[in-house]
Amino acid sequence: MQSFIARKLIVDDRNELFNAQGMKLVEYPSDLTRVREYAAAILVGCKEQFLEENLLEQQLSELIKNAIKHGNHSDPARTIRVWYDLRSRVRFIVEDQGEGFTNLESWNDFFMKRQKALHDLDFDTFLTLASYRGPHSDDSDGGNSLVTALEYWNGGMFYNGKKNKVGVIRWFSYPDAPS
Amino acid sequence: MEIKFSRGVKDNQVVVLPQGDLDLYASVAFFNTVVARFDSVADHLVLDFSSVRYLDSSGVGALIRLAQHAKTFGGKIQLANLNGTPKKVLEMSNIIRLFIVATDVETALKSWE
Repeated sequence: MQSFIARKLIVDDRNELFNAQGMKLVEYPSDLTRVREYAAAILVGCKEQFLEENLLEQQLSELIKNAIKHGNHSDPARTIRVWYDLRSRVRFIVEDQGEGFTNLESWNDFFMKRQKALHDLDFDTFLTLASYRGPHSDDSDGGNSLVTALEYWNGGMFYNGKKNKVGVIRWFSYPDAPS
Repeated sequence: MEIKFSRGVKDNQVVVLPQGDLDLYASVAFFNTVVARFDSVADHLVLDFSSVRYLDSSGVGALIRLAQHAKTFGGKIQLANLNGTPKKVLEMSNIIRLFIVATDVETALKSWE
């Protein structure tokens, strides 16, 4: 029988992904209507092979959306900061001014049960667990941005101690790395 | 996002053609529009993704809610012409496992003959 391995969100305040040295920084107001515009602006000039059509824009937009919507609660007085490095792989640090991802462990529990149902081919249970409902969830939420993020950010995804900052990295098979 | 509806080979078959990005700005309206046409009478739904190039977690959430709705009356959903980012996002989220994926609309409808 295939073994069951589930990923989870990890808090690691000292992770090297929070070292912003050499990264560019932009700061945006918490305007949910401009999420994709912000992501597109950051990715101007990004190498074609990193974009993977619009998959990178989609994943970056999810990080920005989470920071604005769930972190800052779309409070216009709050901003988000995005550090980025698109040179030989893609790296981001996204920080909001909220109280932190207080439901992180609850989300990990949800994800563990969801993956277990999938592993057991229990699709009835999987369907009931397909979306995460937190205390502030609305009809467009479902926790699936984090599910895909754990797959997409293949070099790691970590939260800081306060859980209001996430660091991510994606490596590519054929990066245009300096020799 | 514009959404076109057409009838399949049989009266209970509905083909839905969303045109544009199924993202955080469009997903709630998409769900509300489609769910209104998907019931115990029109209970076989084909979602034609040929004109969708972008799908985010909000769009994934809308698809999950359609699958949950289908379960309440035994409805069937197939996804057709699924490629690119929408396909990758559904694979990464494992939500693709909830659906039958057909190469194209004709194949989807034929499977229900």
